[in-house]
Amino acid sequence: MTVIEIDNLQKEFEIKQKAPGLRGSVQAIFRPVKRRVMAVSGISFALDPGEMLAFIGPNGAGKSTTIKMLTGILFPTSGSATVLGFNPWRERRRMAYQIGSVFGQKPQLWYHLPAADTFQLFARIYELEETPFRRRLAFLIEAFQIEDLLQIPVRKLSLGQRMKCEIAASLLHGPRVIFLDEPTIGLDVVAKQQIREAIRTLNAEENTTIFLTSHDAGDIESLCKRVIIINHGRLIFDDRTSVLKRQYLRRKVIDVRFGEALNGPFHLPGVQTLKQGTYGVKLAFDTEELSVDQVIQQIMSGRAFNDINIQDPPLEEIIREIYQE
Amino acid sequence: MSQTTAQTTGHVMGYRLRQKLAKYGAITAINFQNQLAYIWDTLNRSLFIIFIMFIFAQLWQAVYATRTAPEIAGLTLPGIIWYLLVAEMMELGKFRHDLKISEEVKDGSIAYTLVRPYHYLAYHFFNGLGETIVRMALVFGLGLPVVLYYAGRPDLELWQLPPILLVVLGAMLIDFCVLSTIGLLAFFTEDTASFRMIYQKFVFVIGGLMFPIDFLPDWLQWIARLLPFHLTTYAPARLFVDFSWTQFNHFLLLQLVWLGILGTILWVQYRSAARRLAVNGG
Amino acid sequence: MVRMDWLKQIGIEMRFLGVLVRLNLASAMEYRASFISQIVGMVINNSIMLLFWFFFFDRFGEVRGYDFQQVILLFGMVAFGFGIAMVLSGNIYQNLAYLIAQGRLDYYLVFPRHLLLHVIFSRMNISAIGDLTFGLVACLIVVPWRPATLLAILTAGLLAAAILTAYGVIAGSLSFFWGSAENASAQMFGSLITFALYPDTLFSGFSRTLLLSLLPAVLIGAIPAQLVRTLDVRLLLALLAAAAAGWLLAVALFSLGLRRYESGSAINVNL
Repeated sequence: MTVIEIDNLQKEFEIKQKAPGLRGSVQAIFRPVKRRVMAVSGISFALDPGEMLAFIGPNGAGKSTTIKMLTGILFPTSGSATVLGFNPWRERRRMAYQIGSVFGQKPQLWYHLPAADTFQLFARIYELEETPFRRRLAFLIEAFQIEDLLQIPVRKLSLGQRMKCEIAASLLHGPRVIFLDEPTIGLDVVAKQQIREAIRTLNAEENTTIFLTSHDAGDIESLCKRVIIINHGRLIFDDRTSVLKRQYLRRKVIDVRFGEALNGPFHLPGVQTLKQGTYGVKLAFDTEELSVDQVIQQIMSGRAFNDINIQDPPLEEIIREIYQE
Repeated sequence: MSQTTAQTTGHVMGYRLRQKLAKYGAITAINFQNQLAYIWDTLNRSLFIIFIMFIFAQLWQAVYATRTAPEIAGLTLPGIIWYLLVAEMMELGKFRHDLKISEEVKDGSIAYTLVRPYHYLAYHFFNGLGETIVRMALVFGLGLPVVLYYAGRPDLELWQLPPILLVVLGAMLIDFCVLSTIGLLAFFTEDTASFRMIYQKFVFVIGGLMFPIDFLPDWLQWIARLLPFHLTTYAPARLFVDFSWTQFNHFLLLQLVWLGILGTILWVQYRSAARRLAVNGG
Repeated sequence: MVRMDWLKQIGIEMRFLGVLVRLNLASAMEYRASFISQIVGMVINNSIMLLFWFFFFDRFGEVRGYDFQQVILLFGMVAFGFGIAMVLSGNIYQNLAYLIAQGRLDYYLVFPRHLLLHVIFSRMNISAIGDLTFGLVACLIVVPWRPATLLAILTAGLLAAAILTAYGVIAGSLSFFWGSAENASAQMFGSLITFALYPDTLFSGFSRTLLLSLLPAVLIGAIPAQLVRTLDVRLLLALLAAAAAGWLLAVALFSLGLRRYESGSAINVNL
């Protein structure tokens, strides 16, 4: 039983083009020139319950358009979608009880009041009964550790504290799917960790399906097992995160620490020396040209080493490479 | 020798004066052009004057209909309708720089502007002048069809325009001084907007905006004439509909006196503000 | 079964809207000084207008059937109705058009509550509290304190507020259909109030018809005032009919516009 299912979803926009200057404005009134833009051109995928998906793409790729269609805010031009068994744009209100959303840049907590007040409001919005609501609130307070923050006006909280409360608020009604858009934007490392930990806990305990959009590779790597990349309205990648890294990974970085000091520059054919110290060296090479064991054998021959570390390049680099295709 | 020196000095002074005029003129012109760009937007906001003049016409038609004498306090029905248009023009065209000044005080940027070559207040005046003239012209232009319909042509002769415009200028200067004072109050209080509101209320009742101050009861009229508010709205409007050299002289004199008083207050305020800045360092 | 469901739904929405209003008020009261000065400022504002009328009637007696007391009642009813409308649904004046134009409806669309009500009740105009108080006090000063009259003030005020809100929604919904309707909607709304504050007997013929329809100023000022004065049930029915018609139109227009918004053909598209 899939939680989200999209079939050949398409969205075409008609944009009025206005020439600059006064003549352009006048022309726009009497003879508007319209341009058709295919924001989303036939995408299909499905999500199972409990899946944690990273839905990424450059700006203007059709990301937000797709999310808007999934949350029922926008009608598609053609194609179909089912979220929790609902047709998002036709059954938006009924579906709304079961989905949650957090937009990093569009806060839901009332700025001048304590978060507790917004929680009360959400209880009314989602028609939550008193006792289950209290129980749920207690659980979330514990999970996000926000006990001390609740009575402080939101404007006095730090960004990290605010985001924790935001996410907690979006979970009050026990949604089965939540859409997270840039949840860790602007946060420091500690706060990011806390948020990611909380989301992981949630997914583990309640099997909530997570639909994440983030420009932060750390979010993607630590939370999502699956990545979908959209560009120019089309899906260009839909697979596991590990596959993403492996498939597009052509560079490997090896850190070696030798037993004896190096004399003279360290060099292996086909391998780039990134850094060289007295006892260690950092190497990079292309796995299309040389296999990992070839390089290791070369390193091993002639020298004893104490430590060796093989690393993948950061996800950012991978994504950058894919976008450029 | 001395003649040449005098000529040269004259040339130099003339040159400096022209330079100053050119500078201030340029400031006005730039702002004027900016205003032209906003005309469509302003037009959108200007339905009010058409509606309010229509309402006023109905109101005063009803009042004059109940009376046998064609004049009230020397004004005919067409007279009062024209009066109200000019009064609204003066009111809606008022300067708005008090907010700018109070902001500059609050964020400290006034320290920089006070150092500029041209006088701070003169800058604000010429900056706001373009905006003010455009607004006044728009209000007058938009209200004109309604007024022409209900009141016909104004009882005005062409030669009366220059003195009337002089009084209009005097009115604008007085208004400018009052608002500058209000703006500079930001040195002493957080909320200068309430003072602006209070000023507006005074003009509303005893400044001659809603009706000529001649319609007020005698005791209040006496007070109104002692205060400067009627010189910003009532004076130009009254002169427009009922010109006489006596009135003109009277208003002009009063305007000069009040400009002197307000100017002095402003000067004192300005000096103390400059001193405050020098002491506190901005 | 179905009817119970329907009633229950209304109850749920009302409780939700109640919390919205409560939070709006609490939020504004965080800033005591500003809160009070806005209210006091509006009371002063309105008092000055009445001061003008005082001097006017002092000099000219009555005009087309209105004396000073009548004008106080008229002014009071408009202020009271306006105050109720803007306190509860502060977004109807100019903000609705802005929210629509900026695509900010998305925020509200994610929630399962009635969209239009959620949007307009999400803001409280603080100075309107001054209008509300002033208007109520003004009315109470000039009418006899009989239960029927007091009830009439409340009812007329609520109905005037309903008509005013419907009008605001119609004006704001224009933003669905053309780009920057913010100024236009503010003008429409502002003109409505301006006309409502003046004795309706000043207007006749074509303009009076206009003021009973396209710019229903008479419906939010003179007729409520007359209802309070005469307790004529027919006027009550007229107001009810006007409020109903206004709301039907408002909801229809808003829904039409919303469909346009959701198909992405609004002028400002955030890709």
